[in-house]
Amino acid sequence: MEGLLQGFVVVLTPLNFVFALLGAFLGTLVGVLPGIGPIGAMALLLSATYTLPPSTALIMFAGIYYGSMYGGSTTSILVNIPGEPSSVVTCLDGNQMARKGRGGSALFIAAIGSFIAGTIALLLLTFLAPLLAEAALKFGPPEFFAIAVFGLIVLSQLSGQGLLKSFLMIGLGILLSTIGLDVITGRPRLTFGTISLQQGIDFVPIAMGLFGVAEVLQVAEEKVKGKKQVVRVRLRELLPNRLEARRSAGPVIRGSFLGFLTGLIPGPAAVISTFLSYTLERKLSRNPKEFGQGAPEGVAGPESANNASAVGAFVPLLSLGIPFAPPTALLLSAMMIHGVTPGPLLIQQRPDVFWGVIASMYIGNFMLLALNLPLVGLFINVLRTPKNLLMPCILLLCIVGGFAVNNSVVDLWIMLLAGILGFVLKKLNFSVAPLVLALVIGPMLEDSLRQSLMLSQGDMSVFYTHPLSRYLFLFAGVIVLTPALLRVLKKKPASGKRSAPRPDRRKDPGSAAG
Amino acid sequence: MPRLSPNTWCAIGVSAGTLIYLAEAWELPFGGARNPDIGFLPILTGFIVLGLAFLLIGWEFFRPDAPKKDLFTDEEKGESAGFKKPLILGAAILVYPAAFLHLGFLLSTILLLALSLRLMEYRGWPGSLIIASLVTLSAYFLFGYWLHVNFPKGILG
Repeated sequence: MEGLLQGFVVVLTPLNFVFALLGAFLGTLVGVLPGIGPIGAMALLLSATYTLPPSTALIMFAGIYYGSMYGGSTTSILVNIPGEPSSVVTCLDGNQMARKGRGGSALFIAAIGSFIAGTIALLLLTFLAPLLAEAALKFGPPEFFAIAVFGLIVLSQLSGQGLLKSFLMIGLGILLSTIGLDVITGRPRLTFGTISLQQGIDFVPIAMGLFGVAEVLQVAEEKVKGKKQVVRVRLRELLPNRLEARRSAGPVIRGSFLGFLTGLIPGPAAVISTFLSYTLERKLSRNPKEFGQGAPEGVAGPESANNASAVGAFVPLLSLGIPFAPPTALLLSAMMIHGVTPGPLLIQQRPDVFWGVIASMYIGNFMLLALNLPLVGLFINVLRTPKNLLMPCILLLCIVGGFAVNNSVVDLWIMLLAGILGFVLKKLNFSVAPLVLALVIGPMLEDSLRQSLMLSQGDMSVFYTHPLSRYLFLFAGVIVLTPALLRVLKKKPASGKRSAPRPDRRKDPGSAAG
Repeated sequence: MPRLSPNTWCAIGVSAGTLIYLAEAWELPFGGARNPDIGFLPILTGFIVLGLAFLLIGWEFFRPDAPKKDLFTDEEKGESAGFKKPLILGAAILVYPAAFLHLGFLLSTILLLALSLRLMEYRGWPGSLIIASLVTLSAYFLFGYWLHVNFPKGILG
């Protein structure tokens, strides 16, 4: 409790307060705009925060991340275009409510749900993160190696493209992470004879390329469309009626806990949590047929879940120093650029950062509530900016951001090549999230693997004799094998009916393989 | 030439990249399980990635019902305008860092932005050039002056 109070002291200084507000505002803005997500926005702003104190910069970045979860719902409800992937589910019922003249009510439910879920998740984060950080102080290299492998395995199952394709992307990310100076010996490797590659491949230009430049190329390919149909909402129409409020209460609470737990899992937790919440609410509802027709539960549950999962994702980041999702990977990069070493010692070494970020999220939650509802008209106007003007501007910001990280043309090359790679991978239906996370986790994975082997004199059983590592590896094995076993078991009874063709089975070979 | 599935294309690309990587990694000392050296993980991972890529190619090869779609015409419910625009922009993006060094930030960026605005059909060439110039100049003053980013001046320097 003392730590949290110290955090409030940090965040309530005028500078930090202004930057928390700025982060929340920018987060909402990027959430509203389809195309530029929190990762792109944080990467672009990284160079602008060099002169700021670390806690101020991180408070702003955290605001951008959870703010984007709020903003995404606005476009889903009023335009039927999700600003963020985590708001896709909100389109189903949110836009239907708007078409029935209940758009204001849907926005209010989404905002209040997000606020309550954010607060519940923050309470859980406040108590859980220090406990986990304390426990993590006892971890050795085998445990960290097991956590890294476990994270990547779970991510590969959840990235939605099947095991084989995910493993390929993870492998690619690890290969990229090995370029540059070796972590243990400090010797250069895989630099192809160039000095500029000795610094390694930085995560920020890669993220900007894969998420920013790739999106610009994607828009260049799309046909130019006419103006979007935006449902108008007046301020006085914002309050939901009593029935809508009553129907939303349960889904908000359930979504909060479900979202927080999902946030602890590696992968696109925010997206998964919304689908889980939607499915759960439809199963529990007395009127499941109303789902997809404008059921308030279909807005309240998923919107609460995605906000809670964004907060939940801070637990592994702040307590273990391991990012389980691309936005938290960028936060990790931002921490390191600002000289803050993330991990179990963060709470002891930099309590101002640890507690400052957590406290800023409590305050940011209120800021978002105050920003989102009255300023809905402003955000909708931003949405009217033509995509074919917005995207070249994003390209410019990517160029500036990519160059400014180290004032390096090599970084610019890396970013632009990553953009082309990201576009090609998108066209080939490969998700880049495993690649990005493997690039970030790669050095830790290698470091802990080599240290474990050196300490055990090459004895692989070190990963079995340490209890946490044993259970994590076993659990990872179960995660990999269960879907395959289930598929085999399902196949057996149907083996006599092989005549019927099943074209959908080979929709994705990776998924078939996994 | 037989049409290849997207997965096969990707696996071929990854294999090619990994082979180049492995050729470089092969020069590194591997060490052993007792004392893994700097080539330990790169070589090991390189071979694993290569194996996975071959596995994916094999998977696609022995599954003739794999979807072989045209990447630029049948995607996203016919909303694709074809491959020409992203190809031109991609080529411009590849040339850009060289132009950035020699022509400087201002000129190279104005040209790239004008091209992308034109490709995305925002305005005609004159309008695109004007907007590109305004946006680039604003970025130059914001980042170059305010945030002290040291942009190359090129022929304007």
